[in-house]
Amino acid sequence: MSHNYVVTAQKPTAVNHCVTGNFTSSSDLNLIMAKNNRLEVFIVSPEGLQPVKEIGIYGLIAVMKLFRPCDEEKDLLFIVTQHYNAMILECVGRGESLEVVTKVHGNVADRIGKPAETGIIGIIDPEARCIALRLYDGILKIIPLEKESSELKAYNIRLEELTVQDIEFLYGCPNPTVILIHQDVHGRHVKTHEISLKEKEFIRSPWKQENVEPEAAMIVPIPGPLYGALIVGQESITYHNGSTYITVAPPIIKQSTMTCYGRVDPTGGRYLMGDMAGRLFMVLLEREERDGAERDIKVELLGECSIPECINYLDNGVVFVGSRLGDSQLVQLRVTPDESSSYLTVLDAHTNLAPILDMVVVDLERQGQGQLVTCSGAFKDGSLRVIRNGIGIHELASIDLAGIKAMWSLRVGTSGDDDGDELFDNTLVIAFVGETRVLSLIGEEVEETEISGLAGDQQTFFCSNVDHGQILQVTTTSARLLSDKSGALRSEWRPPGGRTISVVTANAGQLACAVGSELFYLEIADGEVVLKSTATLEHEVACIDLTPAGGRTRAHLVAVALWTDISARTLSLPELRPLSKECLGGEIIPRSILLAEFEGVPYCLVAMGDGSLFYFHVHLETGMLTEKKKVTLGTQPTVLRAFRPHSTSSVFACSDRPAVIYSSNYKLVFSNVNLREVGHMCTLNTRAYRNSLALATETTITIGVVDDIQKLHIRSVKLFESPRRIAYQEPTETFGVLSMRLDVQEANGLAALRPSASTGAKSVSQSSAAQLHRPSLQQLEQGQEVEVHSLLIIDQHTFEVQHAHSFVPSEYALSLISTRFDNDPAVYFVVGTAYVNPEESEPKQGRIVVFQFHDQKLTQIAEKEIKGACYSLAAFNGKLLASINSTVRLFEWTMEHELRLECSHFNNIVALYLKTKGDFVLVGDLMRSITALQYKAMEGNFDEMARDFNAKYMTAVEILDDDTYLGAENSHNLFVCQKDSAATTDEERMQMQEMGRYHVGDMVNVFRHGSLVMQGVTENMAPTSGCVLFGTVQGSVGLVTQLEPDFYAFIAELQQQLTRVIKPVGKIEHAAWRAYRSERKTEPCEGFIDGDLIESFLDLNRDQMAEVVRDLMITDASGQRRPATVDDIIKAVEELTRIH
Amino acid sequence: MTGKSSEEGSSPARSSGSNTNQNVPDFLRGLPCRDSKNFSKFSADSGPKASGKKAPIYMPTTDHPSAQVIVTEKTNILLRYLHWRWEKKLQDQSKKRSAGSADVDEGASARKRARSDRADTSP
Repeated sequence: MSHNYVVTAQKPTAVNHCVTGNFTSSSDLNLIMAKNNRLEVFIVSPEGLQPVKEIGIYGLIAVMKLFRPCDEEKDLLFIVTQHYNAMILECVGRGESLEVVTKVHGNVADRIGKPAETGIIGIIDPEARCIALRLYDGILKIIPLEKESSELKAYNIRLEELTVQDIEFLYGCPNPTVILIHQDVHGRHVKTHEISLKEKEFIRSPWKQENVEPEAAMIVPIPGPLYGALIVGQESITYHNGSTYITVAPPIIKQSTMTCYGRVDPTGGRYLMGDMAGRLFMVLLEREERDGAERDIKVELLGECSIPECINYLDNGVVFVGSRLGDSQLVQLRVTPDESSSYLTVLDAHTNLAPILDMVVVDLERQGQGQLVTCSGAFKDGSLRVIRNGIGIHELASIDLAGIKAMWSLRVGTSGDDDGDELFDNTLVIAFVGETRVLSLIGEEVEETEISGLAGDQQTFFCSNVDHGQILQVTTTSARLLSDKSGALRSEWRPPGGRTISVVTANAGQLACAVGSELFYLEIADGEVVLKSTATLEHEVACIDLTPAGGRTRAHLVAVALWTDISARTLSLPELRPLSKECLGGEIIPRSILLAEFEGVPYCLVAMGDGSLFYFHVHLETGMLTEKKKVTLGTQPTVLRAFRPHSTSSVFACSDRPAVIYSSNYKLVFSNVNLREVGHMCTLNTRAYRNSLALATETTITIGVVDDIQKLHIRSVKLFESPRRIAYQEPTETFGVLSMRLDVQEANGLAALRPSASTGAKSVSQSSAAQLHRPSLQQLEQGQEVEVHSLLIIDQHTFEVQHAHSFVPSEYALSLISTRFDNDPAVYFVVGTAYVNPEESEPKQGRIVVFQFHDQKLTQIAEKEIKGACYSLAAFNGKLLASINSTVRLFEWTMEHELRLECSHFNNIVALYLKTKGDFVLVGDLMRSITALQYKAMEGNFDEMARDFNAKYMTAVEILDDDTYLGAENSHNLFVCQKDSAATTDEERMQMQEMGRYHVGDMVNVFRHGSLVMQGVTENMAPTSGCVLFGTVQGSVGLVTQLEPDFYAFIAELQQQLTRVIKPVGKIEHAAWRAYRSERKTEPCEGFIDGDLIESFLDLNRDQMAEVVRDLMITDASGQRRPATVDDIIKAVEELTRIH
Repeated sequence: MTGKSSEEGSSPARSSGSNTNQNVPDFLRGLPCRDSKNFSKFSADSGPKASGKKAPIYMPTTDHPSAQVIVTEKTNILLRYLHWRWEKKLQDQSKKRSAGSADVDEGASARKRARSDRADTSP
């Protein structure tokens, strides 16, 4: 039995389908996106797209359509999943009480039938009389939409046309009538069929058009008053209405193929169409037939956007372009073209990682935290994405200043610096040891200044604008009140006996400070601070805070942490009566205490001298501190500062590993910040730097803004060509990237279609065609597109392309690693290639090329001709392991810097993937699952240890441990196989046992060992071991980890309870969704837990949580079995969420 | 409808002024407008954008029984086609004949029954 836990760290980002309509209510204009198995519902508003709900579906969404039944006021959503579950959803209620009701559901699969190669197509009659589904070749399934009956009786109609390219319903027909493009040996034809719902048959074919354009692939049905349909091909667009037709073939559309359309006018006069090159067109159907003149179709190029998958006109000239290969975009149609004669302005982009072809886990900032660099997107939308768990600071300015102890921002001056009702800061007070300096910030200018009443010869402990137009400065000796207009000193308060203030805190009207163990509470009045009460505590005060609870202006309690007994306490105000005491334990001094409110829940945070942090819930009336928790953020003393980015309350923890603390779903989230070390921080809101932060490091002040708070931070490095493989080379601080661009054959040779990473590199080299013994290239026609593969060397800091090495056009670069060899200190990039000849069934020749990047130059060190395609490379025992067609070969690196074949393993169809661990090699085959090999160094050969004898088309493999292997195959499943070393017979040993099966619902392209979170952030890490990240075609990043058997059993039980409480949309059983499913078989999920379902526990409300927890038992610390509480489970699930 | 929207509707048309409307290429003239306020306050710099904002996740916990369930008719597609043809033929015949349709129906069902009986006895 295998105990795996799979969870999604980044949900799928590719937009597969998009619809607009009135879903949430009859007056809302909605945009609904389908991203693999998730629906995102938006409302179009004056501010743009407002997210309403995200809905998970237990299945990959293959069809999504909105339709309006005749007597409904709003639209219903029809969905069919890849596994043929159909549903009709209705949205009921609004806001929090919004419910998605499954009105209709059912499985529409047939037991027999050949799944259509052109995929699942679902269409709905414009008058909502029926739905038609083309699931299998030669069959059209009709679902009549009858209101009365409790069953919708779907039936199949035989379609004479076997290969259907596209099918649609025509508008304005007395009976539902479909129009389709089909292909036979003679070419492509258009045909219509009228359906009789009564007789359940096609009753006639109103019209047809034989031999339309050979590449015609898309039908656009036209509503009244025109009716008929557009037939869109690669070179032409035809309008046909049964009696007349007109064809146009504008040269502008020939370069590429239209793939999607969006209707602009409800009457069908204009359509937006997008092609595979990412160009957006407006297609105009002239409305009136003028006298004698023929109706015309005009095609206008609007400009370039992301390569579209779906196009939806929203409102007021704004269009949503959903993309699978690039970022989806919100685009404004401009009435006048811009300087590049584009009619498009991109308003907003939705990040998309899909398809993730390859990725590496690296720790660039050496913070003990991995980040992912992915090869994402394709063609002109190709990019590298740097994915990092944490929060980004966008730097606006920096000031060189060393030795900063603390900082505060102020508003100073007679006029102030106000803009309407908004007040801006204009001054920064900076404390150093024994002195205080003042910087004024005017516009983007920074200069040192003085405030007359401010004590500059002492270290400031606190400084802020306070009530009555005053500024409060607290130094070691006194609390000073200044006029905020003139800066003149108005009054000064000194602690009795002239003693030194050790810690201080204040808000606009209150001040608390401590002198040793003596605590003073003062209130700020006009022109003076008034001592209200004092108290003496058992020990010296280490830190103090009196931030008022949310919404109030005055604090009703003060929080302190003490030396010696290491406790956190609360005291009432103004009496300074002790309310509660919580011992923190240990001997580390608390350094910073903060009262903060997250999502309306008051917390008390205590940061310690060793970088750890305690946090409590605070009861505002009683001052009780409850629910103590601890996390480790850094290794150095930490300072906590509150701030409000994007109107959510957050806390910045300044330390050697700066972090932002905020709350999500009523749980605290600790997110790393992409800065190395921050000593102090203050908020800053000047006219030039609005809602910014000033961050002090050892030598500089950085002014910047915090990016939108999110767990994974994604940075995009555009390449404008398709990245395929990536490898990281630490010594040279570079990434090697294999990428592909499309060039066009012109009269005088190949020309690049557009500038891209490989054409714009600092230096460029090429494999020379003459040197190589390669198969002769077939003659290229002019205008033909040719793939040109390159190795890019990209700087890890700037992401600039240092060097681009292009391969000759027929040579495809397939694999890449960075490695060292035995007895050679140099580090190399090794590329495996294949010569691709369209006439060969598989490549017969290829190369392994060894490059060295040194002194900003890439040099070819060695090359080895091979008899096939090198699909995969791996470093192995100081040698080079390569999979070449059906073989796995090991090459030695000789003293002469040549690759010499040492041994080979043959038993494969096509060996696509290689992973190694010690002497073990795991081979992933095109169709024969996985094989484990052992290298026998003494004999110099490979021993086939074990094999999974099931047929599986592999897409990625990984070694979990010496005996356990993880695989992903092309039916979107994960599986775990184990080799049984203890088996008695050779035969049994040879056979891998399938220990785990799971339907992940997406095609996994790459596995990598590594983690996205800082190791050891939390004290009680969930009992997980190992972490394998995976990247998918739909742009999601997930991870697989192993749980301890007891914990696995407990979480499995929780999963069981969750499936009982959560009622899936579309009524697809969770067990059916996660069942291992391939063309041949369906088997229940085993050995895997669905982490996404487990984490959804945190999205439930308390009552629902209680319902889930009802029958759960937990083993507590003392080993006792007892019924679990909601909080036990929240804690356990929260811990699991922190692994990604 | 579209004509009207060109005046009050699409924001680009309005921003460029109504007198320049004839400079607008006809493929962009009078873009549909459902609510002229939509996207009017959109600004790329202001605060968190839709692309960054996350929608709350819908957690269905109440079971709404489906009003309708889709079931696929089990009849073989060929048999149904043959029946359909058969019945159509009968209808045509009955139209041709002046005889009462009730008799024909009876005959048809009788014949069907006979056939299924035969199927039962077959090995």
